[in-house]
Amino acid sequence: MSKGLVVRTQDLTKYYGPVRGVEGVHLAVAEGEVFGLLGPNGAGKTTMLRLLLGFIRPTAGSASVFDLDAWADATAIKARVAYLPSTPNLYGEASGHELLDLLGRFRGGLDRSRCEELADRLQVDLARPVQALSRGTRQKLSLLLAFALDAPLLVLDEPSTGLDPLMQFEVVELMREQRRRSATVLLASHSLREVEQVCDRVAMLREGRLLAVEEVGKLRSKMVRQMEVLLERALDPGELHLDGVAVLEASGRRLRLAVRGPLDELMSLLAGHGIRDLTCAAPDLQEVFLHYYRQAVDEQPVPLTP
Amino acid sequence: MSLSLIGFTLHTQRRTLALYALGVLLYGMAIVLLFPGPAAAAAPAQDVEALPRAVRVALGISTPASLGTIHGWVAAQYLQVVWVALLGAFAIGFGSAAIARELETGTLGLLLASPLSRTTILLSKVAVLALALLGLVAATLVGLALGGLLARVAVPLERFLGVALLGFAFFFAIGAYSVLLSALANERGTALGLAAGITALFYLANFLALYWPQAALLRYVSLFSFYRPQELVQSGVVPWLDVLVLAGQAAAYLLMAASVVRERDFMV
Repeated sequence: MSKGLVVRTQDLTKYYGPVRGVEGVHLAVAEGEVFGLLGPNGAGKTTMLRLLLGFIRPTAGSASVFDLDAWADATAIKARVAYLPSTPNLYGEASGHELLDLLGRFRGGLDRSRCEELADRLQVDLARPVQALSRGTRQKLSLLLAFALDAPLLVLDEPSTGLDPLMQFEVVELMREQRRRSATVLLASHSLREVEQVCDRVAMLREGRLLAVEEVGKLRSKMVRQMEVLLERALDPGELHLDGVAVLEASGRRLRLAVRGPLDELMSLLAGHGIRDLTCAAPDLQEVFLHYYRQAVDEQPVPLTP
Repeated sequence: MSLSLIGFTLHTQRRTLALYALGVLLYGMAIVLLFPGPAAAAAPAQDVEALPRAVRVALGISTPASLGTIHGWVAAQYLQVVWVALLGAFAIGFGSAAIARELETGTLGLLLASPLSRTTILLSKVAVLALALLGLVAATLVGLALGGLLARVAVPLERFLGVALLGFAFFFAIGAYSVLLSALANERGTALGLAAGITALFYLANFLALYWPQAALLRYVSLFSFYRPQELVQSGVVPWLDVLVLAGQAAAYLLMAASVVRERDFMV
């Protein structure tokens, strides 16, 4: 294996007939890294995971996992991979216990106490058949099946889908634990917040193309947050000429701002006028994408013909 | 193949398999219990003689006089049509579900994400099909034996061994092309419809070959030309060559299925 690299793709391309799945993707994921694949629906995230797991064959380019070819050596790779699909498709007649037994036998056994601990944390009744479980509980059972394997590489496709906020927090915690035990996590998500919470680096995909690979810290500095502030004393919007701050609306003591980058200077200025209330909306994924998309377009040579 | 996957599939399908086996067993038992005896069976034999030839060919009744024996009665009343319908439907249903249903419901993702090769997954499904068919054939023989005990009729089981073996090979071959179609399809309904359609065409080809001398060559394209229970129970022989030919056809279908499964994309 190339030292430190768990996943590597070179010019990876997949077309479904005439429809582009992904095209020309170069990626490298290091051992122990939590790596996000971020993009809206149809961006090519699931196609990337399918290619890496050997479910589908690349049209061009190559993908390797643990330095093994993702298509030709798929069986050997999957002895070291745990996969969570985007929808919890499980055998309806089987119970959680039976599914754990099955997956355990495929891999030479599972740690029973670890399974029980996960069932407790995720609040899953392993004795009930899958068909008697709600969609959210099926998702939790799928998560349990993935995390119980303690695999060196976890491939998670939209892990928080269908979960309540408390359980979403638990899933983030589980991913952080994987990082602490030096497992590599590949996380596909359309949630900027989810990716931001756990990932070290993020690849942004749009319409099957890789826009950028960015460290989460840098990504955060480029995010635009919308902020609403209610002050005790009115503030002249002219005072808010700060880098990365735009006043969207000013009405008496109420301000609506678009903010990018560090907040220290802005917060001190606002505090001087007494902050009575402050709400900050989650960064808009589309806005982040547009930023990278514009950057990518700017870097392209201008075509002479349309 | 994976013993774990075979065991799991048998476990999850246990109710369906048990019900099917019970149905096959009870039907066989009932047919033996309904045997009117050698003398009384002569009347239905005459009725059969009176049927139009096309109907007799379609029902596979070649020697109506054999209805006077218990094995001839069972072959005509059960093994020739009803047994084919029951076990043929099972082979088509189970075979067409092997890959396509797993793909349709997404559970194939669970298997593909495990350290099992695609060939192992397919072979495990085929092994379950073979075991289930063996169980159903055995349940048929048990039903006939129980019927004989209850009706106090001596059922010569040794005369049914040839049909049982040939039947197993015949239904396994039907199951094998259903598995091939299942490997090609994205939905179980497509595989099921195609397998049922092909089976109907095989049946039609055999009918035409038997009824219409000019179409006699069609028997070479139909699996049904191998299946002739009345003849076998009369002679009591085991048709090893036919069994081998059917097994060879099944192997060819399964090799093609394995090739398809190894090479195709699975969108799970």
